[in-house]
Amino acid sequence: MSVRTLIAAALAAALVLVGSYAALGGGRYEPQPVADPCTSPSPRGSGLGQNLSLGAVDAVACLLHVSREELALALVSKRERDRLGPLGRLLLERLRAKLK
Amino acid sequence: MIRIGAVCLAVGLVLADSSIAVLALPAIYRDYDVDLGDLHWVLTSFNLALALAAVPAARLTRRMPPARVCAAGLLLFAAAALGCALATSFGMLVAFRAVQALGGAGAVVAALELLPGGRRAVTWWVASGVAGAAVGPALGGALTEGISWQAVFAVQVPLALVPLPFVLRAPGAARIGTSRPRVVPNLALAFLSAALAAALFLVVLLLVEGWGLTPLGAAAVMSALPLAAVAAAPLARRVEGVRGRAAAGTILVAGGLAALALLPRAGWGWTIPPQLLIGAGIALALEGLTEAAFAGRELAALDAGVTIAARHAGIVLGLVLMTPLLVGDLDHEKRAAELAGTARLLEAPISTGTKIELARKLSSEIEGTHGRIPDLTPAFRAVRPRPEERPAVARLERVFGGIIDRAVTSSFTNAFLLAAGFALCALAALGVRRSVPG
Repeated sequence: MSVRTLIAAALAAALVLVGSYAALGGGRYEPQPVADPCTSPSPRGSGLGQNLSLGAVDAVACLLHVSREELALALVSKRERDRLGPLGRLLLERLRAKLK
Repeated sequence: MIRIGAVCLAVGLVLADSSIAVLALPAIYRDYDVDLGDLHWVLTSFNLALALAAVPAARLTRRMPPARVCAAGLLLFAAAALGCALATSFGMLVAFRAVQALGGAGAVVAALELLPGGRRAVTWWVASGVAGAAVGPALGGALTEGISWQAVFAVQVPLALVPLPFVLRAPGAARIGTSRPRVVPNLALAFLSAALAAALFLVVLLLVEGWGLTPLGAAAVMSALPLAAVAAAPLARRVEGVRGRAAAGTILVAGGLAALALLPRAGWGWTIPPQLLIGAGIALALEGLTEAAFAGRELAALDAGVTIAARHAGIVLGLVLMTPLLVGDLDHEKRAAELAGTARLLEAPISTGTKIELARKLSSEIEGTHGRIPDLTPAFRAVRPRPEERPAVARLERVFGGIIDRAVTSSFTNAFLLAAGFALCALAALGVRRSVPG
């Protein structure tokens, strides 16, 4: 086998593999974007209680200028809670009481 | 022949050591509770010390009989391996790894002077190093899972002592090199080694820490790489022209690494085709470049020292640049995955009480991992949903698994691309005309 044939074969093998992986969706992973709670409220569930809870989470998140996901994480994690300011922590306590 | 085998064992053992600890890394990571960003020092300290000590060790063989330098190196290597096995802290392990490399440097460069027969000596020496580096990860994985990560180092003690009597009886005197070392093949070798080190380190972390394979399972998956190298070796020898062979090999390595950066799904099967490409690339490029570094030169230990220094400096470069990139991307993807998972939990058709209970368990599981990739199964097992909610909770568990797998896989993209970039730098170095024979 000549050197040129070897280099051409190597290039072809590399391009075929990289091209196939890219065509199968490789490198196109995008995490689900977080929605703005002020303009795009949570999709509603079936029960009234559920809808009221989601509505309350949306309202508080909109007030604090955070996503509803960040607010929900702050409900259960001290690390996340510390990221909110004093007003945020106060509203979070109210929300927690309401959800109970 | 036994003497040649013993000297080759010494070379193979030392050069296997730069990769043998790779599959032990996840176990070391858990045992010592170190930051992921510091873990690479187990490999980096060894390779850095080897790179720095190789040339001084080669100069030492001009003043002392190579057999003595090789034997002293093996003794130091064995003693430090015992120290690694008994290390009680991460810092101690890293320090003993560096000492191991100092001994290893003396053993490897002096070994070239103990092998008979001009070009054949180089072939033996190169082949032993490539075989050691290829077998290292699988052997390390088997020992880590079968016994413990400490066994990876303990087993090296008797293996390093076996060649001693044969080495001490070997004739050989240092051949003095008369010209400056070849810069370009050694530079290309450094970049290629950076790419390969990054590839090994990243594939192991992805398989074991990212996708939860056992060390033995990961070793089996990673055996695709050395098997491809062995299968491609006869083809490599049939092609004349070192530069063309090295260029073809480097293209394969770069292609394999780029494919690893573009894995379509999380799953070990997707890593096999890129590993086959990288393995074939190693067979073509690594031997070719090492031969090029020695071509037309006297077989002085100094040439071996320069080549070893270049290879291991490249490994250090790969590890040092790639680790912060990986750690930063893991942090970024972790946050994105947490938010994506929370969104799915909020939308799930389950009661608010179950959502809060599940969120608490998941949060405590994630915080308990201290930045590692979490296993969320215990959190899902710990919640008690109503019977009608169970299918939705099971679906949520699968969704969360998918989010974590995709986030982890995506975190490795830039690091694999950087490794592919190193391979392309090696290719660029090869493009310098008349720098590499053939």
